[in-house]
Amino acid sequence: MQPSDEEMIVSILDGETDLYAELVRRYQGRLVNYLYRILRNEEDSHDLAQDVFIKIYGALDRFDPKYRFSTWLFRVAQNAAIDVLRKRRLKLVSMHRDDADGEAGDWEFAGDGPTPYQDARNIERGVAIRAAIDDLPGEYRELISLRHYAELSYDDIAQMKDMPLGTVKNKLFRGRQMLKERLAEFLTD
Amino acid sequence: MNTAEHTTLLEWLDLDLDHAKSLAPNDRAALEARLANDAELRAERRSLEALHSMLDADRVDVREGFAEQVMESLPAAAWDRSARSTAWRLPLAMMLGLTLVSVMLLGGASADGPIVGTSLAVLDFLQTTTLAGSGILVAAWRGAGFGLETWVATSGLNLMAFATLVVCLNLLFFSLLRRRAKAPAATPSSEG
Repeated sequence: MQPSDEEMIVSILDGETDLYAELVRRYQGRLVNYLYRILRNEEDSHDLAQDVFIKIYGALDRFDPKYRFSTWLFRVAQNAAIDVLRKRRLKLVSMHRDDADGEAGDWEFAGDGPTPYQDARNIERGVAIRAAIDDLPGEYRELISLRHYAELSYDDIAQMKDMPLGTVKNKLFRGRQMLKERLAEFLTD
Repeated sequence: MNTAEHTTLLEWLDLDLDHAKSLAPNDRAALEARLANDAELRAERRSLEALHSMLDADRVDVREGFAEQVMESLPAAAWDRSARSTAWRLPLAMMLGLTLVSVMLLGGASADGPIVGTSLAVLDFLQTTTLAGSGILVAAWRGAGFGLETWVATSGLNLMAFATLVVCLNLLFFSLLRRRAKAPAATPSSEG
């Protein structure tokens, strides 16, 4: 059975610093994707993720075990991303684009791999979903990012946002309902 | 089915699909029973499943070697005892080495003298140097004190200026202490 994050931190602080690489591998995907939702740039999200891991490493001895490591990591990441956005003065804009042909195609991949049409359709879906998430009100957008890209549990999100669990469930439900309405053309049978 | 009931069923569907595994067994049983008889609800489930898959599929790949790159970039942390524990070893080794070399050289220079005597001579030298250094320091402070006393005693104005300077320095000192005491300690939750 794999050690928990908190157990690994204890070992790292005891001198097994190489274990930190394992902690990085556990969260690198989620952290990079979460930051990508905020920064919209793959390279920037990797660079900032690296900075966050370095910052976390330096502060490991101050980790409070009454919180989960994941909530601490993503809280630091969120603040770091906000700082980057402030510096860049990035304006989040909607990327709405009407679908001229109006087709709702089958989005399952063919056995031999996607055809050029399916590739284009997948790219269009990617653009559409990012635009739809952008269009959500701030708190709904944040919760969707924390749930689906940071992959935090409902309890972790409630702890991180200092929000009742019921409120988290309710807002995620409403956020997904809004996304469903905006992405209806991609979700039909 | 009324709106509130429909909303509840949609919430159950959403929760069930989100791998939260927090839907109570009774609620799940009721949901499954309703799904069996409600085509509209089944269509809703398919839409939600498609949405979840779409959200989960829209991800970027982490570049290869990312973890290794992070590890290479890690600075020595203040809490890292393995880094701290070796910090004093090199200076101590150098000091011992220099002492040994000094003893050997001095022992070789005075071929008739015992090694013990040579070591004592080295220690005596260190003691003399320390005393001389502290003596110079004391002399310097006494000289400065004497000069200041002479200047202050020449006039009342000088005395007042000196007193004002002392008060200002004290106020500065206390304000710095208070500022340091008020600064919040960095906690993990506030970092970033």
